[in-house]
Amino acid sequence: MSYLTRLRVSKNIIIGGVILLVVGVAVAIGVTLSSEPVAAGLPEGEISVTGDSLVPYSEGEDQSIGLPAPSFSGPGVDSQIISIKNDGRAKAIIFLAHWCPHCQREVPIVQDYIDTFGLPKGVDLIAVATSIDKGRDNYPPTEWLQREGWSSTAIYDLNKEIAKAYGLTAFPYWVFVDKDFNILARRTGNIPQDLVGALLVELGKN
Amino acid sequence: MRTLIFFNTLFGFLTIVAIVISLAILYLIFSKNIISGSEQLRSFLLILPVSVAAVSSIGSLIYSEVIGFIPCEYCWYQRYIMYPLSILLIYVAVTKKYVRVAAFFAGTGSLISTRHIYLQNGGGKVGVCTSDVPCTLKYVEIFNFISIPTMALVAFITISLSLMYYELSNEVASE
Repeated sequence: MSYLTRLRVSKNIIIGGVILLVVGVAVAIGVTLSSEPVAAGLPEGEISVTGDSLVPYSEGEDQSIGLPAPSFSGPGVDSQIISIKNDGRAKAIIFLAHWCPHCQREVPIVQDYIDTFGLPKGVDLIAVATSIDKGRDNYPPTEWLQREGWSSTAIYDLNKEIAKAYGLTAFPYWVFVDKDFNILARRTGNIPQDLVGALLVELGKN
Repeated sequence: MRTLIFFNTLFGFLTIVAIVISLAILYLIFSKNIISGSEQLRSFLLILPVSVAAVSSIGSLIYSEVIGFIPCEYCWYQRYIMYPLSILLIYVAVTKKYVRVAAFFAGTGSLISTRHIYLQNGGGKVGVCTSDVPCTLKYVEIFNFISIPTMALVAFITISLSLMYYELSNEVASE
């Protein structure tokens, strides 16, 4: 095959490729222009944490058991500041990331338990939405929790300060605090619904 | 956010085009329809992998450098294969040598992508996302099934199939 014929063959392929790319770009522009802008953003408010931070969580023996939990405050969904401190009630604190598929799975499981059985007496359940990232999936977390019908307290840890103080290393991250505001247990990963219930009931006895 | 929608749609579209081309090549292979006489097709079979590898490499850089997604461990493994493969495939297209070496690398890349997709869909360590950049995280999910490793898998498969079909058509031509 002569050089000129080869050139023509390559030219056809290049033209085909360019047409394909132009079609792709046109479709992308069309979809982008017709997409609705992401509504709303995050609540505003200052995060504050007092008390000693816990060591980062790892599986195995947990040195934080029995230590006082850090008190913290941060904005709720309407930007009102919510404080979590020693008030004589046991607490289950769940740290969530809106982009984490396991957190997305955990929230309806927990909410379903609460809808069915309610929270045990003397126990508070607090969701701390942290590692908030506009560029990641399922943003903003405010809309996500509302969509899931989350009925308990939710605090938005805008600068990851609360997560850091509690030694978060993975999501979802559960921290159980007794009525004296000392750490009872910490664990990461999904908890099955029956175990969620058992842990909350057990927490109510502490 | 609009930049992300633009690139997601563009790369989603190109992924679907690559899937259609791969299915067409698969059909030709399984129907034993090995076209050896068409120089145009043989050229296409070498230029297609170069284009796919180039778009994949540029795409991965757009996602990390323009959009700001931080690559996870498995993303890096796939990059380690795709970036050198882009260079190798240019060499393959020019010299028509090392076709099987390039196909081997593309095959290895597709295994890594498959493992990454498995992790993203609940495989591996159950129920945990690490707090930094977990491999379980789906940064994007276009049309409900195209995540970044899915794009990489389709790219690696398209490259492998093109090179495989090129080799088969060479063998038929030499018979």
